[in-house]
Amino acid sequence: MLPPESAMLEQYRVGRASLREALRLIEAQGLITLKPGPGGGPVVGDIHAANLGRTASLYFRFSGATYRQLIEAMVTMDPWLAELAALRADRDMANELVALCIAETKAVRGDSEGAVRFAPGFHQAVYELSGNPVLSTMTAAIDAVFIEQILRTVDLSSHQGQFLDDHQAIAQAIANADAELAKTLATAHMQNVAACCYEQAGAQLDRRIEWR
Amino acid sequence: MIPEGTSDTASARGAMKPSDPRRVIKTSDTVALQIVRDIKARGLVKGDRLPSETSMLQEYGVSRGSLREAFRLLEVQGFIRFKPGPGGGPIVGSVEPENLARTSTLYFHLGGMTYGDLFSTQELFEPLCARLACANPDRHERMASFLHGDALLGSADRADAARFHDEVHQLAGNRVLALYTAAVTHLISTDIMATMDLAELSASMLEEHRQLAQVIADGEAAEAERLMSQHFKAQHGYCRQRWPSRLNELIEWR
Repeated sequence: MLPPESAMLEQYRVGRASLREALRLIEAQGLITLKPGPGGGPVVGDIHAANLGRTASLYFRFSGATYRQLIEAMVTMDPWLAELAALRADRDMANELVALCIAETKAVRGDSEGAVRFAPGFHQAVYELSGNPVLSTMTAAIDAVFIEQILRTVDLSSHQGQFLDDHQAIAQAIANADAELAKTLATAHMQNVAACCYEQAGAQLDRRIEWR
Repeated sequence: MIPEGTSDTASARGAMKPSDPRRVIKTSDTVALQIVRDIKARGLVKGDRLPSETSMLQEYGVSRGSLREAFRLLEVQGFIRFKPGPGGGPIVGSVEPENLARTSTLYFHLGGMTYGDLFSTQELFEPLCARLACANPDRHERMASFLHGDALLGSADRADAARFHDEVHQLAGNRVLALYTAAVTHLISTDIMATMDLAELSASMLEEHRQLAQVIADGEAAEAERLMSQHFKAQHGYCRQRWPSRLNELIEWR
């Protein structure tokens, strides 16, 4: 919980309107929540890359970027993080990722939505192992736009077996500190995901990115 | 007309991510979205006038407070501006990577991220842009003015250096990667490079830009990637040596 409005007014010595606008601008990025009602007020929120993705997609839209370009960016950036994860990752954490992958694979095998549901968690775990939070945040922001906008029209469920195997192999390469292999496997995996999107959505992906 | 309190979060996104982190969509967000769509639908470009506040109030059927908040959300990102004085009002702004950079730093700062993280990110993005630029058919034309860098002008004018990198970002073709790279490079140049004395580096920087312009114009992708990587690693190395503590400093939100 942040200090109440009255305290902030005194502390920052600004007008009520300016303070409210400032809070609203930070709220627009999802970094604080304004709790309404008595006992309410500004509360510190979590940092979600999806919110940055939403703002970034407005820039992408205005600069004329297409969904195909977004996918290409994702195909490039995700493997960078897999490589960094293999180079820097804490071995115990990397082994946990492998164990998690194996468990998740067993749990979702045969559940047609399972792989898609698990995918963001896997990629996020790799990003956290990378040791570069700036690149992770920027990549996760793009991933969020991909999930919110492209995965609405593309159905990846028939490829789930392949994707789960890919994840497991990438996790294993990271755990073995084999950076080159991790990057190669992550690239192949992302190209595979991209190919599925191109195959299903085709020319639709040449449209400009929407802001929603 | 947009009903007050419209929310598209529940229905549209639930299936993908069970725990939806995105904040609740407010009326002002929906109005902002509508303004952005109308800019496109009406074919408005930078500097064009938007409808007056009064006519937008009527068109969107929302309160003045919500409309003004929507304006402010877009104004902060530079997408609309306000022309002051009589006959003034909202006009279409432009897409500037520095505004995206500024918003990003809010996340970077709160996430406890450092300039060192930003350096490592730049070392990946910039060489990639150089490689991609080599496939652009306009590369000769756009690199032409950098081919004959006059070493006597020495002190490698910062604006000129920025212009060189801007051109490379744009030549990269992929606008998502170009925006991201420009945002990262902008942050490093304003927060770090602008505070450093680059005198010792400037002569070699100018020569490096000239060499890079040449290999990009010639379309030598692998060489362009290698040189660009070297170019930034040299700058980062210089900074690391002179001001090692700066790398561990939190990225500032300005």
